[in-house]
Amino acid sequence: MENYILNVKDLTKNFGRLKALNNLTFNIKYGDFFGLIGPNGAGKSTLLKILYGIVIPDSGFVGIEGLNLKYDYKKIKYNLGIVPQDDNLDEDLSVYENLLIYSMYFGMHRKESMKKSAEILFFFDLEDKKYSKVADLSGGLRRRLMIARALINNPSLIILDEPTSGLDPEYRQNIWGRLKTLNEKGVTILMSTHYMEEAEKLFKNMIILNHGNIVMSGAVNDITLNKKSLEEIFLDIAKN
Amino acid sequence: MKIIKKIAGINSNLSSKSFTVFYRNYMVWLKYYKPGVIGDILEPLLYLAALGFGVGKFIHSINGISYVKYIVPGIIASSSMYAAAFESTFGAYTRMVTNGIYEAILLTPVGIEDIVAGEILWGTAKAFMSGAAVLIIGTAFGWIISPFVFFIPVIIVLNGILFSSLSLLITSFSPSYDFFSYYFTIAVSTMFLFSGVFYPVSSLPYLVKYFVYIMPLYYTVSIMRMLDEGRINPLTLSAYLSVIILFALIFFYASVFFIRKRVIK
Ligand SMILES: Nc1ncnc2c1ncn2[C@@H]1O[C@H](COP(=O)(O)OP(=O)(O)OP(=O)(O)O)[C@@H](O)[C@H]1O
Ligand SMILES: [Mg+2]
Repeated sequence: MENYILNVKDLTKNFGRLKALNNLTFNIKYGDFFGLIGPNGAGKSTLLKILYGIVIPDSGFVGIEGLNLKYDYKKIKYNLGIVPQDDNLDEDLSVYENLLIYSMYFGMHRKESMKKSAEILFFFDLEDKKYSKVADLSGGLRRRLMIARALINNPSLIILDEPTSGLDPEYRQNIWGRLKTLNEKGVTILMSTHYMEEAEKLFKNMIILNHGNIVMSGAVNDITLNKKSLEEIFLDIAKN
Repeated sequence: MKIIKKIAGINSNLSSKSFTVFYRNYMVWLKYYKPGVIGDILEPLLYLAALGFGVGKFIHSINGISYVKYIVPGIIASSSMYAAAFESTFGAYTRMVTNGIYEAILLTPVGIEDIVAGEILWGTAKAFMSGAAVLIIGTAFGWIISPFVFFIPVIIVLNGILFSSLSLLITSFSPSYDFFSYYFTIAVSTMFLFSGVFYPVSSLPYLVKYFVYIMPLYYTVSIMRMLDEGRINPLTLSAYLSVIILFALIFFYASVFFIRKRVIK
């Protein structure tokens, strides 16, 4: 258990008669860049939402850094950075205020959050947008701010749900670079995506979901070794 | 038993983070407050002026008090009710549904109970601004009767908590903004007209009179009037205070329950 930052065991979630997740079991090691891929409706977001507490599973166990999500979700949140699929930035506040208020939700002190905000704005090249209203930002900048916001509390695990979907290649690469840097600094990353190119470039390990089941899992290198490209594997799966 | 356990869970999870939820709303308000404040303060004053001077010309006194003086405590209560109700319906719905603010907050160590408490605090602050404005102007014009009025701010706060929590409860299961028009017509306006703001409830027909007792506003108006006129009956006062606190607690816990049901799947 100690080697793993995240343990998922027998996780099941139904929405009425729809089996969204079916008895999932997997673990993520400290320092991993762990991918979650699968076609639309496979259950990626549902799984991630369970991990960050917006969806309650029907059964199963989730442990994060040795704590049980069911009982210690508030404690766990202190070390978690979350980027949901849907943008929920605070439209009424500026870029800087978004970060500041967010840091207050984590109980950070003013000085500390000002320092951290400055650092993050620099890291994401958002310094000249510091006082812009979020409503005035482009889609790409908003996405960057979503990721920036998730870093305010120095998380040890970052969960991102399709953080690059709908972005042009330049923005996408821009985000890849930053995520890679974070991972090299020791932050564990769990991320879902549609883009196979992204999966091959970033992920060390991954699972492929389809209809709420894990249909393939392991190191990205092993999955693609001697075989078809991820793209082909993915298309095969999506057909079923 | 189950309910008691749930309430205990909510209590143990409540934290000072609710002040951050409050602070976020305050920060946004600071940017747009001007048109809102004018409305919140001007409207009750229009009621005071129109009814106090207009109707007051014909009704010289109620219980020996001039009409404008009679309605001051009622207007304090009703204007703070309206301010809390608007904030905790339209304002809260925008944050919860339209802008996804609750979901964003839940990504952090802040829980539903903190969000609800923070929202109620904020609705109460809005109620206080509105009620206090009427109190200050009433005092400035000499429409205030007894020195006990200095306890009225406490009752404005209670009234704010009461109507923020009730309104948030309505918001928790409201499918759209349109739904609020039912609430405002059926509940808020009815209370405004029948809770003893403009005339003593005792003048209402027999059956209607008893209907008034289920209206939360009746209790705050009555206490404010007691304080304003300096005719304090300790037994009634403590009974009415208990009713207000009981209502507010029920609305608070119910809001937490229903908002959790709505936001977490
Ligand atoms: N709150 C909900 N109520 C009912 N059904 C839901 C709910 N959330 C998700 N579902 C269903 O569960 C299934 C999995 O959805 P999910 O959003 O997890 O898929 P996904 O893999 O993230 O898809 P995408 O790639 O399109 O984001 C879908 O069939 C979806 O319609
Ligand atoms: Mg999804």
